[in-house]
Amino acid sequence: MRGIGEYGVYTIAALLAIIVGTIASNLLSVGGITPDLLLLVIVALALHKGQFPAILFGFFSGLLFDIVSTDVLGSNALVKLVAGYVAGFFWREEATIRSSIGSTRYVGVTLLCALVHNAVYSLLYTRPADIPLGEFYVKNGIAAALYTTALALLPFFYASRQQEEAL
Amino acid sequence: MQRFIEFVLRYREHIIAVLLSIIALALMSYGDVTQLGGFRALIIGGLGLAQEAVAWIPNPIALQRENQALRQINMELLQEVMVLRKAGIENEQLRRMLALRQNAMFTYRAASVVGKTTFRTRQYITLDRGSNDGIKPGMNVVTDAGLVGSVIGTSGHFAIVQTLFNRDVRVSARLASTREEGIIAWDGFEYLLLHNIPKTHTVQVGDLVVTSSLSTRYFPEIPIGTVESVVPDPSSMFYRITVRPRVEFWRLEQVFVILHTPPTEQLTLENALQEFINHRITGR
Repeated sequence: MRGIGEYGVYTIAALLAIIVGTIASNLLSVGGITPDLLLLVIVALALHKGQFPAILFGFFSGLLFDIVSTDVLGSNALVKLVAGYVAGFFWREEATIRSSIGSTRYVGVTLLCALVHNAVYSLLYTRPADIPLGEFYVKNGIAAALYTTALALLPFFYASRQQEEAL
Repeated sequence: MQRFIEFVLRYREHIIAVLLSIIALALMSYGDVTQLGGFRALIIGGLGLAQEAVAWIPNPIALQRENQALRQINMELLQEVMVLRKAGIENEQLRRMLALRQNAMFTYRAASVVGKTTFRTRQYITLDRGSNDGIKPGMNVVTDAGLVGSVIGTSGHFAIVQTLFNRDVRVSARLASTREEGIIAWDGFEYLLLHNIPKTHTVQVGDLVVTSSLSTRYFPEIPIGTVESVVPDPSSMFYRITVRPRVEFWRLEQVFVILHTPPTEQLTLENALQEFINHRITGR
């Protein structure tokens, strides 16, 4: 998996995340809280490829998500690029896709990015309405971040196992 | 120039992040997905088909609750029918006496909910009826319990409904008992808030809240919910009124679309006024 091929894989993963997140969001929803599958792809790409591609990828995939999800155009583009920007600070030059996802850093960075991502989104979401930001963030932002992080454990376990087998 | 290029290359991540953030904020300010026209209809059609394909996955807990709720509603309706039958006879006599014209009944189109979409806590539902069935954006969607929301987009065979649990939704409402007018908005969690009811008025827990005749988007007298709590807001002259929605959005399976759009002439005029005010404020 090199060059364009690697980006192709991330693009397919992002498209799948958008489709599943849109069509089956009700099945994934627990008490009204839904995980952010697209965020998992962006964090993986940021740890593997670096901050610059993660920002671009976050922006364009977020924009596509806005169109498909009927959310306010630009809102997910903004928060996803912020997530890519934050995750990009944890990039290591020698990173491979397995070492990126198969490390506990992936889970930790996902949690951090989800918290930041949801904080920005909550701010955008509650600002025009009469909704208390703090209360909204605790219920939806933190809970959704934990749910997303819990799902990050699946690719983490899979990649770490593959890493062990390769050694 | 060389220095500038070096600067850009050195800080390209930060520069691109700032530029794209500005683009995203501009997109948020100037448009929303509802302006995507035909492309949006294509998305709705695709989403509807996909959601219909996964709609067979059963949710037994929801079904059980739905059955219980329906039995309860059935009992209540039975009692109401008895009362209404008597009231109908009286009404007929009074109308004849006053020579009033009968109000035309709305035409309803039954639809099944084939998809429920939740983004954070913003909710939409997808119906298995679309523009081929006469459904148009702006039409009200109800159940026997009350108001669900309004249609925001259609394709040939599907329609997307924006429920009341959405930050963008404001409904002109009134207390059924006192006819006091207010605005219904989502509280961000499980309830709705009824704004603009002055503390000078009496509001009781359990009072019914219905859509108001002042609304340009919703037909009047559609039940919305019942007052759950009434707290005087110390920072204003109004109450903070929490309303429990009558419709249980998580259990929606069948709805009715009212095959009439609210009067567009009034809405057009009000939108024109709003645009004029915005134009004057921004100076654009």
